[in-house]
Amino acid sequence: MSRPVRTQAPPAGPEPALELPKFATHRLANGLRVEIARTTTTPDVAVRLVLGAGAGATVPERAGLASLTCDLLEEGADGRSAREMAEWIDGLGAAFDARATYDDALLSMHAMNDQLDEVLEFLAAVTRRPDFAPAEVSRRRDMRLDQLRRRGDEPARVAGDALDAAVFGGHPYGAPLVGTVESVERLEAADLAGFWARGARPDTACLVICGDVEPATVLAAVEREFGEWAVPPEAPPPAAPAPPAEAARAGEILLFDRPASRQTELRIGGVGIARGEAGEEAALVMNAILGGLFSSRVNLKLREERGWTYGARTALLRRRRPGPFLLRTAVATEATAGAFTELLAEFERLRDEPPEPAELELAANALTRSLPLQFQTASQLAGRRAEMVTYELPDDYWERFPERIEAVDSAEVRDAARRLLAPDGLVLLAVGAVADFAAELGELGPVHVSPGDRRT
Amino acid sequence: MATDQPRFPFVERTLDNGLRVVVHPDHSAPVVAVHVMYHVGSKNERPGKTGFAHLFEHLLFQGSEHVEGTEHMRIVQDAGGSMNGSTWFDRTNYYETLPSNRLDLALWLESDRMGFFLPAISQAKLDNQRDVVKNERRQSYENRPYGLAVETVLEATFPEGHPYRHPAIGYMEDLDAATLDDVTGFFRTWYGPANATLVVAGDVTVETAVERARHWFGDIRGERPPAPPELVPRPPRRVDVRITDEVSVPRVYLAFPAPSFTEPGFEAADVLTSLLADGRSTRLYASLVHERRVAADVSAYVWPTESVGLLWVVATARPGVDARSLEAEIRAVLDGLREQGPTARELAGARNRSRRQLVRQLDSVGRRADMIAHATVYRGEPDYVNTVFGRYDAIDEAEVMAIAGRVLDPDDGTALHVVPEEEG
Repeated sequence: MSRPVRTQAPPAGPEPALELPKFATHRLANGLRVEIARTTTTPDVAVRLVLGAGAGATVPERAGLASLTCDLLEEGADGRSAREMAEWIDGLGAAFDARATYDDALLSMHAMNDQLDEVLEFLAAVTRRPDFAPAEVSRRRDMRLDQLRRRGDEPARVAGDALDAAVFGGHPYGAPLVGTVESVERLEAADLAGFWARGARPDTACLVICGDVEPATVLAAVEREFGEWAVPPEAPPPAAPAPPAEAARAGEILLFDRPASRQTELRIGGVGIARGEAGEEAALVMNAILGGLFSSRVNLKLREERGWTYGARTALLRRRRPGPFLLRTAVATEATAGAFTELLAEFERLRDEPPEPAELELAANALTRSLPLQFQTASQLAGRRAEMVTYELPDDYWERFPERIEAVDSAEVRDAARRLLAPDGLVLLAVGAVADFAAELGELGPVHVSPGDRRT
Repeated sequence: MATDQPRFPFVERTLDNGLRVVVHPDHSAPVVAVHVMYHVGSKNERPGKTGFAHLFEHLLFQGSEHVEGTEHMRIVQDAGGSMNGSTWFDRTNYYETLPSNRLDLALWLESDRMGFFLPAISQAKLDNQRDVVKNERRQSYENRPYGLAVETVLEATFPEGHPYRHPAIGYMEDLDAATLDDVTGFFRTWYGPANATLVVAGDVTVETAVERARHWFGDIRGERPPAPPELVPRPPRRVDVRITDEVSVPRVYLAFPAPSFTEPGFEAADVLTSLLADGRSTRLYASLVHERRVAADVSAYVWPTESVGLLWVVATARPGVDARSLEAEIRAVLDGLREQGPTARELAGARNRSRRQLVRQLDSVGRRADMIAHATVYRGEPDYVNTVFGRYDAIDEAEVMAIAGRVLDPDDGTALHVVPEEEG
C-alpha cells in the first residue's frame, strides 16, 4: 500500500456529468401543465402544485391574504370538515404544506409511492373545492394574529420585517408574507375565497410529480382528479408591480431599541435583482465573493478574523421582480459600530477593486460544482422543477448554468458591486441595546431610533 | 403494507487501528457523503469546562498540519461540496457531501485532522473561536425567545454530577476557562481512530471506498478511549420550575425520562409522540389548539440519546391563558391516552407518519450516512437503516399503552413554565 501524500490536496478525478432525470411534460385540455419524472432510490413520491396565487400584487393593507388563504385550504373541503381532512391526511401519514411566496402559491405533498392516488385526491379537494367556511376562517385568523403578536419577541424577525419595509416601502415586497396585525384583522372569508377563485386555476398552474411511480398511471390519476377543473371566467391576478429603483429609506440608519438585548441583529439591505434579468450571473458571483459562502469576505472578516459573530452572510432573493439584496448577521453589542464600519469597507473594496482571480474561481466553482448535490432526492427534483416552471427557465437551464457562470469576469463583478452596493442605495439597520452604539453610528450618517421592544 | 421497504446495502470493516468503517454504495446521483463520528460529546466534559467538546469541534475546522487555517471550508466549497459539524451529549460529528470525483479530497481532509491536528493549534485560534462560540450562544440561546428553556430543564431534571445536566453549548464562564492544554488533552483522549466511525455513502464501489479509507486512515495511531462516564443515578421525581423571559405569552415544557436510542422502547416512544402531536388530528393538537383553543402550537418528540432519553411535550399558550392551566390541559390529554390507549386508526396513522418520515430521513446519501453513523456508534448496528422499518411496523396497541404508562408518569420528569417578565 502506498503511503498517502498529505502535503497537498489529492487530485480530482474527472468531473461527473450532471445527468438530470427527464421530466415528461403533458398538458390537460383545461391547460393544466403536468410534469412527471420517475426516480427509484426510495419508495416515495414528491408532489408540487404551482399556482398563480402569490402575494406579489397584494397591497400592504391586505398583506397576508395569500398566506392566510393557503392556511385555510386544509380546513374543510369537498364535503369534509376540517377535522375530517386532518384525519384523512394524518391517517395516510402523508405530509401536506401550502404556502404563498411573492411569486406563487406552492402546494407540496410527500407520501409513500403506493398512496399517490389518494394524495392526488386530497390535493384536488383542497385546490378545487376548499370551503373557506367563516367559522374556520375566523379560527385560523385568530391563530395568525397570535403568531403575529408574538413576532416582536424575536429580534431576528423584528430586524427582517423592518428591513423589508425600509427597502420596499409601500410595495408588496415591503410587507411580511404572513401579514401584519392590522392587515390580517380585516381579512374575511369572502376575501380569501375570491382571491383563490381567481388565482388557483388550471390555465396558469403546473403539477410536478417525482418519485418511484409509473408515469402512465400517474397521468391517468391526474386526469381523473384535475381533468374537470374549469378555468374561471375572470382574468388571472395582475403581476407584481415594479419595486422602487433603490431602497425607500436609502442612506438612513434605522435603529430599533431593545435595551435588554444580549446581541445586535444587524442588517444592510437594498434593492437586488429579478430572476432571469440581464447581469444575473455576475450578481451571483459578486454575492458569492462578498458573502454568499462561509469563505466569503464578510464572514472571514467578522467571524474568523474578529470573532464578533457566529456568522455573517449576504443574499440576493430573486423574484419575478427585483427582490432584496441583504446582509444578515448578529454581533456582540460592543462590536456593533465596528461591524458596520468593517462591512461598509468590504462593500467599498468590492466596488473599487476587481476581485482576485482565486476569489472569482472559488465563487464560480462553488456555484457550479455544487449542482449534483442539489438534484439528489425526489423532493429536491420536484422543487427544482417547480422553480423552473415559476421562472419559465428553459429545459437545459441547469446544464448550461456552469458555462454562464464561468463566463463572468472580474470587471463584471466590480460593475455588479457598483450597482448593488452603491452606498446611497442601501439602508443600515440594527436591533439591539441602542444606547450602547447609537452615538458611534451617528458618525456614519443620519440615525433614526424607534422602539424595538415587544411591549411598545 | 403494500409499499416496498427500501433496502440499503452496506459493508462494515474495522481497520487495525480500531477505526470502524461503514460503506453504503448508491449510484443514483454522482455524489458521495463522508461522515466521521467521534464517540465523545458534552457528557465527557469535566466540571467547570462545560461547552468544551463543542468549542473543540470549532477548532477542528481551523486547520491541521497539512491544511492551513480556514482552508478546510474553502477547499470543500471549491469542490462544490457542503459540510458541517455538530456536538451533542454523546457524540461529535464532521461531515461533507461532495461530487463523487472528490472522495479522496474528503478523506484527506478528515484524516489530516484526525491524525495531524495538534501541530496546527494556537492560542490565537482558541481565543478567536471562543469568541465565535460565545456569539453562537448569544444568537441561538440568550437572545432568542424561550432560548434558555432547554438548559433550565436539564439542570432541573438531572442531579449534580450527571453528565446530561448541562447543555452542549456550555456556560459563558466555562468557555472562558478553556486552555490550550485542555485542547491537547481532549484530542489525545478522545480523537483517536479507535473512538471514531467513518461512513462513506454514495456513488463509489465498496472495494474502492474500503481501500481509500485504509489508504488515508490506516497509518493513524491514537489512544484507546477511556471508559464511559459513570451515570449518577437519577431517582424518579417530579420537579416544577418557572423562569421569566422577554416573551409575550407563556410556554410550557414537559420533559419525561424515556427509553434512550440504545434501549428497547425507543421506537414505541417515538410513535407515541407522533400519536400525540404530529398532525392536526392528533390528541394534543385537536384538543389544545383546535377545540379548546388554549394553545397556539404544540409539539412532542423524543431525544435519541445514548443513556437517559427525554420525551418532550411543548406548548405555547394563547394570549390570556396562563401556564398553569395550559399544563393542566396537556396533562388531561396525556392521562386520557394512558387510560384509554390509542384507537386502531390513531395507531395506524402514527405508524404511517413515522414510516414516511423515516424514508424522508433516508432520502439523500448525506442523511443516510448520518443515520448509519448514529446507529453504529450508539447501537453497534449499522443495519438499523434497514431493520428500523420492521421495528416501527411491529408496534402494537399494547406496546404503546406500556410505554405511555411508563413514560408519561405524572410523578416524574420536569415541568417548566417560561412566562413573560411582567408575570414573574
